[in-house]
Amino acid sequence: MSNPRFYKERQSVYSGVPYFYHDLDNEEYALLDICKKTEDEWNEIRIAAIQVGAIFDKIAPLLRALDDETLLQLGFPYETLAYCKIKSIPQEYVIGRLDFVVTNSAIKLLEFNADTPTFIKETFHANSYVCQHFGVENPNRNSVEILRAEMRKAIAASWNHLNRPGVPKIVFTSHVEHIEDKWTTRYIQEQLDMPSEYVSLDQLRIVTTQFIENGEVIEPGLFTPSGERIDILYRQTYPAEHLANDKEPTTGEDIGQALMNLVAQNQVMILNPPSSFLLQSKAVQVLIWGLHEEGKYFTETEHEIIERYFLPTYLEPDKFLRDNLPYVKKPSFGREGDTVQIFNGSGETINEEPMKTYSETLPVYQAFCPLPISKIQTALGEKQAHLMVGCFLLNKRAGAIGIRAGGAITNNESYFLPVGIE
Amino acid sequence: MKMSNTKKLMAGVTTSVMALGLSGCGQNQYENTTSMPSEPTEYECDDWEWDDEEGTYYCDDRKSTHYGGYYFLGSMFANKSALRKSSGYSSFQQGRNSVTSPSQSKSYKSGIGSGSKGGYGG
Repeated sequence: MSNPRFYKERQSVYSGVPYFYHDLDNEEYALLDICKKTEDEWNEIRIAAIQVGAIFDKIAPLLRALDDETLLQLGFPYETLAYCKIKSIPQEYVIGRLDFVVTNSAIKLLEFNADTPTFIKETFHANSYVCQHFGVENPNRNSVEILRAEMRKAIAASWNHLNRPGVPKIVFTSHVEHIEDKWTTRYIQEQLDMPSEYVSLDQLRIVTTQFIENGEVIEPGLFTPSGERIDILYRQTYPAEHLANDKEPTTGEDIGQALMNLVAQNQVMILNPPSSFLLQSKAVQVLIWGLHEEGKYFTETEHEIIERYFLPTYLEPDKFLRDNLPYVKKPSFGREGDTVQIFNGSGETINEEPMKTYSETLPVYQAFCPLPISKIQTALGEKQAHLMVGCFLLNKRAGAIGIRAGGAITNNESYFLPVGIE
Repeated sequence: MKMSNTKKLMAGVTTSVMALGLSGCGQNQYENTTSMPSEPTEYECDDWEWDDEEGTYYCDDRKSTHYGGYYFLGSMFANKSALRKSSGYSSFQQGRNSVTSPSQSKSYKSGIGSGSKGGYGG
């Protein structure tokens, strides 16, 4: 039963956050509660994020050098093979998020959401309102400036690569009807201090072959509904593997692949860049762990970082079954806990996500590292929840931190738990 | 005995590591890249400095008329403050991106975003 006073207090705090979604699908999402740690403890997470990020940065060139057969073994859809090898700006990703299990004794990486991480408006923006409410310092207070600087750098690098005159036409896009996607996208658009436009995904127009209109030659490219040529497309929330499936509604043409071709032909730049998709596959952790076990490719210091922060990850569960160790089966391109299963050392399911959207994609098998459990305050009273810590990486620099509180498998129904300094 | 998928994968990766001479100690074609775009060429200034905080270049050449100015995407701003106030400069919009016509032509194709209904950012 909801406590009316608490309900009013929560409404009062979150109604002050412009264009926020503290409730999603009529369910409580953002908690009026706070997880406090010392500044040193938050910094330890940021150090882990920077060091883990450096490992992904190091593996990216190797991934681009792999043949198609090996990339297919890593779960990349065939249609995306050319796209994911494109390298046109120095940044491998602009806004990425690392998800960690953080306990008193260790910090372990669960996954790197390099391509389309959300949780941005929550951690970079809404978190400060909750810190103010509880009268504590915000550990994310410097993150917005880093976000702005790195977005600006990425736009500058993209524009530099296109080598066109004038100033770029920058468009931010998302599904307009999905509130979380839309307000996340509008938030990052606000952080870029130069002219840009929001165009929903369904309103984008693609020209695949040159034609003449009103006596003017129109070259292939991406356009706004009013016919302006787009130079840089920022699509923070739309996964590349979904883009690969997009169809033109009347002809059935593979329009998403046509957009990927335009990116390959330098007709339009896309952010996060294609290399972020290359790092998105959870099977990349199989490769990193495999090279670590074989003592290859990485320096001694990097091997120590992998040993400290990464979990053993393979393409089959054999090693865990042999050693009678619990493990997690997760899709290489899954999102939000969908299709994730937890097994005991005998291979029996002990927990699983009911959503099975990604059952066709390549699974990876990772050592099970349980999320710590803590008490949280919800509108319906106190609850026990598993806590997963997300730390943003903004082109190698550590950004905002936030917590998802929910079940043993973090999913779409998990809460946003703000963070503060103890 | 059947080779595991992980071993098969690592065999392919090892071949690539060896073939390209990539190693933990060596440089490769990407490791020399930095996060900085190349220096501007449109404005006379012999000493461009990178401002990491702003993510832009500024002119540090005392002999240049642009001394102290900040460059961003083809334009110069007198100082950092002017750069930061630059969001409203719609006059920079140029003809290249101007509206050409209502995009009713069949040559303008739609369908981006049809692969899902959103909510799949991780």
